[in-house]
Amino acid sequence: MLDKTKPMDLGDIFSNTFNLIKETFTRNIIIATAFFVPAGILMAYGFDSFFSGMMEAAKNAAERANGNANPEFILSMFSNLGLYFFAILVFIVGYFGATIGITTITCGAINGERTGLGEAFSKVFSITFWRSIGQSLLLILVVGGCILACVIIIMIGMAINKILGILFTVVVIPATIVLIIYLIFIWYFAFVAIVNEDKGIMESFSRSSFLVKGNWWRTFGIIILTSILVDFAVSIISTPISFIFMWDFISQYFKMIAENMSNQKSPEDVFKMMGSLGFGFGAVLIITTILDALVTPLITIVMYFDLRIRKNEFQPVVQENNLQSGELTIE
Amino acid sequence: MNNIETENTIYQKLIEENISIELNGTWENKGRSITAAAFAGLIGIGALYFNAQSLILMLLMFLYKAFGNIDLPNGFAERINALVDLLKTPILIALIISQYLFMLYPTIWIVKRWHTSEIKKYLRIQFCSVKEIALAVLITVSLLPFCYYLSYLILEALDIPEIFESLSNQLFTAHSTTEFIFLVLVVAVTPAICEEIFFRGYVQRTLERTTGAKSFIITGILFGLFHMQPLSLITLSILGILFSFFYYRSKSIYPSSAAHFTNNLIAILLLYVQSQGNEFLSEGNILEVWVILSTLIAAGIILIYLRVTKKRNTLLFDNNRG
Repeated sequence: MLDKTKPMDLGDIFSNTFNLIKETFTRNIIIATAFFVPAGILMAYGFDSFFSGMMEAAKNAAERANGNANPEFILSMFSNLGLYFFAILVFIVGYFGATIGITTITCGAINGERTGLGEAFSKVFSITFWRSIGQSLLLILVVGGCILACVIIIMIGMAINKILGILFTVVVIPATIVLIIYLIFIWYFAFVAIVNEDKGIMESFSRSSFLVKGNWWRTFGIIILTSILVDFAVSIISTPISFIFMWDFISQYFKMIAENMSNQKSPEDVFKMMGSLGFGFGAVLIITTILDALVTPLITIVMYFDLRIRKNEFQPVVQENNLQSGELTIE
Repeated sequence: MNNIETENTIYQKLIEENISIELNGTWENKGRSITAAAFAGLIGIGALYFNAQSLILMLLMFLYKAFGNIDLPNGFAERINALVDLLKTPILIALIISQYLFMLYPTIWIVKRWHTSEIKKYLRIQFCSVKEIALAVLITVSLLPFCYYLSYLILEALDIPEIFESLSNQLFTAHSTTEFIFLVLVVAVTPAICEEIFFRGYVQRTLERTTGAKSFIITGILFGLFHMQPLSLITLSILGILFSFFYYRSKSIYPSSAAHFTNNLIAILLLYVQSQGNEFLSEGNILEVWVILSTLIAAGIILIYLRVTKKRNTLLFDNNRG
């Protein structure tokens, strides 16, 4: 269990995250697999259809030049595109489900409770799920709004005067980037607040702002650093895995380069290479997402508890009535 | 009699060096997870090393482009070959700088800050008998035909075009004695110091404190994965496990360093010999009988190595227990 009496430094965050990974590994991997594997298989199939469709279209375009076009390919391409977007949607839903489950289990572990899989699953299929989706959509809307406002300001500037337009561009674009980064990090813990404290959508934003205020740079630095480290850790494991799952694509690529070396170019090889990308890409995506899901949410949770410690939320509470009666109880 | 006395003096010296390390670093004082320290060090230094190496390489390439007269020939194959030749020096310079600055130095810094001020003791940069070092080198040399054969089989099975191998070999092939000495420094000496201190000295040593004998298997596989070369993953992991085994048994960094140096030196020596027109040990020329024989010899020397290190380790164990 985490020591909630003193704020953590970077080493404590690493050490506590590592201990939590060990403690919750089996339950978290079950949750991640349950949500990501079905969604990932659909995604792999979606990718496969999409890339195959795209290559079919490219082939048809080449044949059209020779007057042998098959118009049916347009229909098949659109149906593939539909499946592709549906697969992405299912994957996003799976991502929310897995992250809620993992967050529930990990927060329980920090609080010294052993949250079972049943409890974690019931949390996923509750109002928390919709709140998390709502919170993310709202965040996307705010970010999108910032970008839109930036574009409008620049357009107004351009309409008034060309020099003013350039001036607005130079000032407004960096300002928008800074604002978006600021907002993303100040609301970084809204998701955990929803899952752990059952906060509503708007409450979760204010809760996260309250926690991050005064610690923004620290939060920013640690999140950037841990993201780089997690990416590296995932990449050393996923490199050989990608090699195995994307072998069809890689071997075709090798063949193509070798043919290029000997000046024997064949467009068929490009079609074959891209056509074989889909399934491998989907499979690698499942594995890397599962690996990432086992670490990143845990770092976020440890940082969330650290910020709560820094806001003195775990100070021992001396009960007033007990003081009066001469007994000292610390909660 | 004299030999036995010398051996006992060596063992006594080792025992004195191995016990009583004062673990006074911040990680130790705060009672944090030791396994987490090993992984944090591995991932932290790994990310720093690879990113810094890429940046140095980019900077060197930029300088080359800015101040050099780059004139690439026509034709895909010719251009690729010329590019590899051109990038050879910046790649080797980036490699040597990043190994010392972003692998060795951070490792020493981490040991000092997190664990102990007795850096040499912690990393086991300490006395070891010449017999153990010689045996480690012999085992590595005997196992090399097996490793080369295995990698040849993998390349054959996957039908990798020869051109890819020749491109990577081109980077490590010396065409003159001066170039050979430079390559020995970059490819053999530097990894034998930096990678050994990082992998064996820090990662394995730290993991050993919580996982015991399992540490050499884990570190060996991590060594293979860390190189990010999927085609060589199996052979690199085998070599990694072997080097880690030497470190685990000898309680000193010298045997694994010597073995690592020998392995890399032989690789560039073979490329150098092959570039001179000699096909010795090139892929197609590896005889299966030779592979089996040398592997059996390696197994035999491993048994001798186990016997040699057993006596000292029993003494160490008894002393630590006492």
